[in-house]
Amino acid sequence: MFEEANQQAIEKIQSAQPVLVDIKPAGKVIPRMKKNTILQAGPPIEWKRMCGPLRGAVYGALMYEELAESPEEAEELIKNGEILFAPCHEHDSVGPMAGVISASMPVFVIKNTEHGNLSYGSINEGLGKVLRFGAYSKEVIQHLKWMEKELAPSLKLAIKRSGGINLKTIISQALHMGDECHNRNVAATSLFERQIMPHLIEANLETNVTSRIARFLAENDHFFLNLSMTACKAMMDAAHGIENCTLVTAMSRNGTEFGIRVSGLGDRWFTAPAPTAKGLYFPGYGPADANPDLGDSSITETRGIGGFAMAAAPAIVKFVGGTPADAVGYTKEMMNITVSKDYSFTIPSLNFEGTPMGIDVIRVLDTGILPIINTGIAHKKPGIGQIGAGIVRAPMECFKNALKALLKK
Amino acid sequence: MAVKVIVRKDTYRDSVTLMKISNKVAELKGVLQAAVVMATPTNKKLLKDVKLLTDEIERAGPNDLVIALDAENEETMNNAISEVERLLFAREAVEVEEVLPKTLDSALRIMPDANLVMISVPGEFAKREALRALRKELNVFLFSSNVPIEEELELKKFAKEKGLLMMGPDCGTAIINNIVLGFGNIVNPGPIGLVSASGTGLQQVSTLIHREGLGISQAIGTGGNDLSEKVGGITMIEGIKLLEEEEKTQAIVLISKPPSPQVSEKVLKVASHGKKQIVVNFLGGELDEIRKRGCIAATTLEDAAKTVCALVQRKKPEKTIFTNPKREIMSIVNAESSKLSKMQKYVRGLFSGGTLCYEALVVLAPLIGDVYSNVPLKPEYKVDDVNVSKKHTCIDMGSEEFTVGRPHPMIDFTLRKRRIVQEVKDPQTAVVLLDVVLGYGAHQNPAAELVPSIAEAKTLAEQNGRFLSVVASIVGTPEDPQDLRKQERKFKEAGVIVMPSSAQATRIAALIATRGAVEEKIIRVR
Amino acid sequence: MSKRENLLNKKLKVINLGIETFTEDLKKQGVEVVHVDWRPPAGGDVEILKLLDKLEEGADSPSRNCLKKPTSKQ
Repeated sequence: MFEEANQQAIEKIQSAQPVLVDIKPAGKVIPRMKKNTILQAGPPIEWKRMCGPLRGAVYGALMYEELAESPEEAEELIKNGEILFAPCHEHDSVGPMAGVISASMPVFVIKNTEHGNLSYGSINEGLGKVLRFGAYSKEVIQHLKWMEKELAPSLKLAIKRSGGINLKTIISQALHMGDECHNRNVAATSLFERQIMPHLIEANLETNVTSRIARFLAENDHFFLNLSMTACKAMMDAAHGIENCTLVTAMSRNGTEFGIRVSGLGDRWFTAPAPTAKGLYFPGYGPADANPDLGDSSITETRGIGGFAMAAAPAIVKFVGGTPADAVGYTKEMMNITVSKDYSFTIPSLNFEGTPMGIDVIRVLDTGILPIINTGIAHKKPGIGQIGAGIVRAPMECFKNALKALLKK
Repeated sequence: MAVKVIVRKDTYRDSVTLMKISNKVAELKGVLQAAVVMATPTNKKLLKDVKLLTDEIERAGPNDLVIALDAENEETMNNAISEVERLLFAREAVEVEEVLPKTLDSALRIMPDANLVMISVPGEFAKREALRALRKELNVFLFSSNVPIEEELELKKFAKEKGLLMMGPDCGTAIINNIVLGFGNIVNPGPIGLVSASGTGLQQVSTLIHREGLGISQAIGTGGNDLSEKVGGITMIEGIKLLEEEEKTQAIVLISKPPSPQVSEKVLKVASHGKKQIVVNFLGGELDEIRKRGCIAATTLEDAAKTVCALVQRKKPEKTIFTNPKREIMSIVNAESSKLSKMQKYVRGLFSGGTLCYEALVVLAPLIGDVYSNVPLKPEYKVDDVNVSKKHTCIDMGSEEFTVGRPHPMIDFTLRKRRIVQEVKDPQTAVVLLDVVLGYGAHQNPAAELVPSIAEAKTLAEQNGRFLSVVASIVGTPEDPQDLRKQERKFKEAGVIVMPSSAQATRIAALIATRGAVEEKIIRVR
Repeated sequence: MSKRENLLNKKLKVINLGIETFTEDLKKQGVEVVHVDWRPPAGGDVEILKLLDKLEEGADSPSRNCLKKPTSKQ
C-alpha cells in the first residue's frame, strides 16, 4: 500500500534533474501570480500573525513594487485587503528566511528535465541588512532594483548562453567538498561561478557591469543557497501527489508556524508552532533575541541534503555547535526515518554512503526521531539580520496530524 | 521548602541512567527528596503515591523528563538542579564508529544474524518492541515490567506459535549458553537446567548448584507472571519442553511461587511426560500434587539445588537443615541470643529479592508463626505502613512502593541502610535478617555499603543496653565480580552471622530471636 | 521447525533495547551485542501508537504490504 507508492516517489526524486534554464520576473512566470500577490516562506499565515522579519520584508516588497511609499501606507493596503498573501510552495516557488517574492522580482527558473516540472526561486541578495531578514530601508530597495535591472538580465544572458546549468551535478560535487548546501554553500557557489563566468564574460556586457556582477557573486558565499533550494523543490515536486505515498515533500517555516506537506495528501499543510533553533550566537546576541524558525530552506533537508548531509560538512559545527562526531551522528540518525539512500549524493567520510532520502511520516512517528534542520537564526526584530546558527527539529505534531489524515482515507 | 518540579520536554533517558542520577542528587547535603523519572503513566501513579504529582507532570508524556526535588533551602535547591542538569547532559567523547542505531530495524542491518533481543524499555512500549522482535524471528528476553497481563498473554501465544522463546515480561534473569542475561551470577556450565518465574530464586538455586560442584546448562526465566491464571505457564511449559530436548541437560528444576491449582496441574502434567528428572520448588504449595505427577518436591530453594545435584550424581537426596554441625549452630545461637535484652524478640527481615522474602515467610511460619509483610502469606498480615515494622516482619524492599525514582535495592542500599538503623531503634527488634545478592547488575561492593550501617546499628543497640543480631545470606559465587569470599569475610568481620543459604539464614534468625526455643520445630519441619 | 534451535547452544548474538549496563555486561562476557539507543515512539503519544499498531497489524495479512523490511536498495 504505502510501500509501493513510496518506491515510486523515490524513483522520481532520484531521477529528477534540476537544470537552471532562465531568469524571469516573478509576475511573468510564476503560476497564478498577480501584481498584488506577495509570496512568503512557510505555510499560509495571516498578516496579524506574521513575525517581525516577515512583516519587514513585506513592507520592503510593497515599497519596491511602488505600491506603497512607506510602511504605514503598506499597512493600509494590507488592512484594506488589497494584498494577496500566499506560500511560495503553493506557487512552485521557494525563498530563504522571509522568502518574500513580489511580481517584479527576478526569479531563477529551474526545470526538472527528467519529468518536465518547473520551480522558481528568488536570487540571493547577499549578506548584511537585506530584505529576507526584514530590512526595508532605501538601500535595500535600491539593491533590489539593481538586481532587477542589472544583475538579472545579465545573468539571464549568461544562463541562456550556457544552455542550462545542471544543479544536481554541482550539489553532488559540493557534497564532496565540505558543503551541505543549506548553511554551507561556499564550494557550490564557487563551482557555480566557475561555470557561469565564461558565459558572463562572453556575453560581452559593459566592463563595469560584468565587474559589478562578478564582484557581487564573489562576495557572497551563500549565493548558491537559493539555487540549491529551488533545485530541491523541483526534485521533490516531481514526487508530490502520489496516492498513498507517505513521504514528506516539503518542510517549511514562516517564523510563526512550521509546516509539512506529504506526497499522498495533496495541498494540505500540517502545522505546529515554529520551534526556535538551539545553537551558537554571534557576539552580542542570545536566545532572547531569536526569531522562531523561518524560511523555505528546509526544502534542502526534505531532499536529504542540508542537515541530513551534515556528515559531509563537519566544519559546520563551528556555527551550529557540537562536535564533528555529532555531525556524522545526525546523518546516521536520519537514516532511521528515511526510506532510501541517494546514489548521486554521497558522503566520502561514510565510505561514499548515500545521503538519507525520502522522509517517511510513519517512520518518524514509529521511531520518535524527528528530522533535523541546520538553520540560520534571525533576529526577531525586522531588518537586523542573522544573529547565529543552530539546529532545529521538525515538530512531532505535524507528523501526528499527517498520520491521522493518512488513515482517514 | 516546597517541592520544585521541572519538566523537560522530549528528553528521554533510560531508567537506570535516571535512577543513578536520582541517587547521586539525593545524596547531596540538604536534599530531602529527589525523583528524576520519565512521565510515563506508571511513574505518574507512583509520584502521586509519594505526593510529588503536579498538574504540569500530569500533562507531560512518556518522552518528557520530570525532575522533582525537595530541598532544605533555596541554595541547596539550586545546587541540586544544576547537578541534575549537569548529569543529564554529561557528554562522553563519541567515536565515529560508535554512532548507535535507534531502532530494532537499524540494529538488524548491523547484525542481521542476531538471535536474541533484550528489551528493557518502559512497560507501556514493551509489547510493541517485543512483537516486532518476534515478527523478525528473534527470541526475546523482556526485562520490562508493568506490562498488562493481556499483552503478556498475546506475546507468549505468538512466541509459542512461532517456536520462539519469550522470557518475560518482568524477567530479570536468565543464563543462556552460559551467558548471563540481565542480573545473574557466574556459575559453571553443567548438566542442570532451570526454568524459573523468580529472578533471585534462579540466582540462589544456580549459585548453590555451583557450590555443590555442578553447573547449569540453561536457566530460562519466564517472568514473574508466567504462572498466573491468565497466562497459564506458557513459557514455563515451553521451557520444560526445551530442556527435555536439550542434550546437555540431565535434570531440571522448576522454580516459582505457588501457582493456582489449575496452572500447577497444567505445568506438572507436562513435567510428568518428560524423560528427565524434574525437581519442583513452588515455595510452599502442595507437595503431594507434585509428587503425584512423578516430580520431586523441594521445600526451599536450597533444597531444590541440593536435591537436583544429588539426583544427577545418583546419590540419595538429603534434607539440609544446616550445613554446619548442630553443636556449632547452637553455639552461635547462644552467643548471639545471650546478649539480647529481655524485650528483644522480633525478627525483621529486609530483603532485596522478592522470592527470598517470600521463602523466609514460608520457612518462618511453622517456626515463629505468621509474619507481617508488604507481601504476606495471609492478607490479614499485611503491614499498615510499609515503612514501619510490626512484630515479626519481613519486607520485600524491591517492590514498587520503594522503587519509584530509585534504583532497585540490589543496586542501591540507601533505603535498607536507613531501615536497619530504624529497626534497631525499636527496642523489640532482636534480629535483622538480610539477603545480599551479587553478580552482574548488582552493586559492586555491597559490604562496603552495608557494613557501616550495620556497625552504626550495633553500636546504637549497645548504647541502649541491647544487642542487635544481624544475619545474612549472600547469593553469589567466588567468580562473581564482587567475589563471594571477600564479601563473606567483610560481613563476618562486622559481626554478621553469614549463612550458606537464605533458608539457613532464616532458620538461624528464628533460633536467635526465640533463644533456641524453636530448635525442635526446625528438626520436625520436612 | 523450532526457531529456538537457533538460540540454545548456538553463538549468542544480541540486540539490546534499553538499559545500557546490560550491553556492557554482555560485552564483558565476550558476547557480540548491538546496543539500540531507544526512545519512545511518537513522543509517547498513546493515540498515535494505536494508529501505528493498526498499520503494522495490517502488514501481517497477505493482502497488504505496508512496512516491509528495508529493500536491497539500502
